[in-house]
Amino acid sequence: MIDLERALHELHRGGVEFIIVGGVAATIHGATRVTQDLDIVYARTPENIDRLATALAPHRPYLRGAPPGLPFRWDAETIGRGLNFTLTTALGDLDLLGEIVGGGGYADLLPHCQSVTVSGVEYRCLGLERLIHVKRAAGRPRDLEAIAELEALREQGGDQDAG
Amino acid sequence: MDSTATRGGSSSRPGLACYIGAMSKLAGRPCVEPATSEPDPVVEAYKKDVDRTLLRANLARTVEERLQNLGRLQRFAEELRRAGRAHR
Repeated sequence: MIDLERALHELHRGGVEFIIVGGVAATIHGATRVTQDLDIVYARTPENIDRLATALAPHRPYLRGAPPGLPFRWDAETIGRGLNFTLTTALGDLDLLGEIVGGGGYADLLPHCQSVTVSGVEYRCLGLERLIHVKRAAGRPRDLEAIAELEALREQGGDQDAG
Repeated sequence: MDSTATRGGSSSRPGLACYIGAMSKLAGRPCVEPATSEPDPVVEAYKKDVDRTLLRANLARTVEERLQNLGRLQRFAEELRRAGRAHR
């Protein structure tokens, strides 16, 4: 389970450039399904990677599902060498994505984002249309029900409501 | 993980997705191909069962209220899991 408000706040406070995607983005658009983690696409610039490493370091990021005690080091070098990280942190489960299927990286997704305000802070969230697109592109059977709900939301005019 | 993250390709067909992903990597480009816009029969079938009253109720809420609801549901689900573990 993720402490959403705190996780978003910590990333914002650290000046991290990111886009909310996945289940939390679906919730923002009005989906009713419950997600347990926060998925973000982060900018892969060296400065942003530094900021991301610094912002999360106090929250003890570790590879989710990995056995304890692995020599995993959370720093800019590790992030720079990897791309997508599924992490467990003191804030909850956090997926840091450098790229998503059908959407690309941070810069590719920016034109498809909309702003949402949470606790007085503005965040970038992937727009409903693009969210459907990337979920369809991923082609995962378990996403099919989620896509159905997102498409129903689109028919209800959900994209306008999250802006 | 709830997102669509992988380093592979994009398609509603996993085999093709892998191929496109590999080709994209070879070309040094991010994998951004258009997903088909044709209706998926499985999605269409699921769509019939989507409770639109819940969606309308959610759309009447603010984004903050939607996220607060999600937080409440997550905590409740966690509580149920804990109770289930204790019962076993």
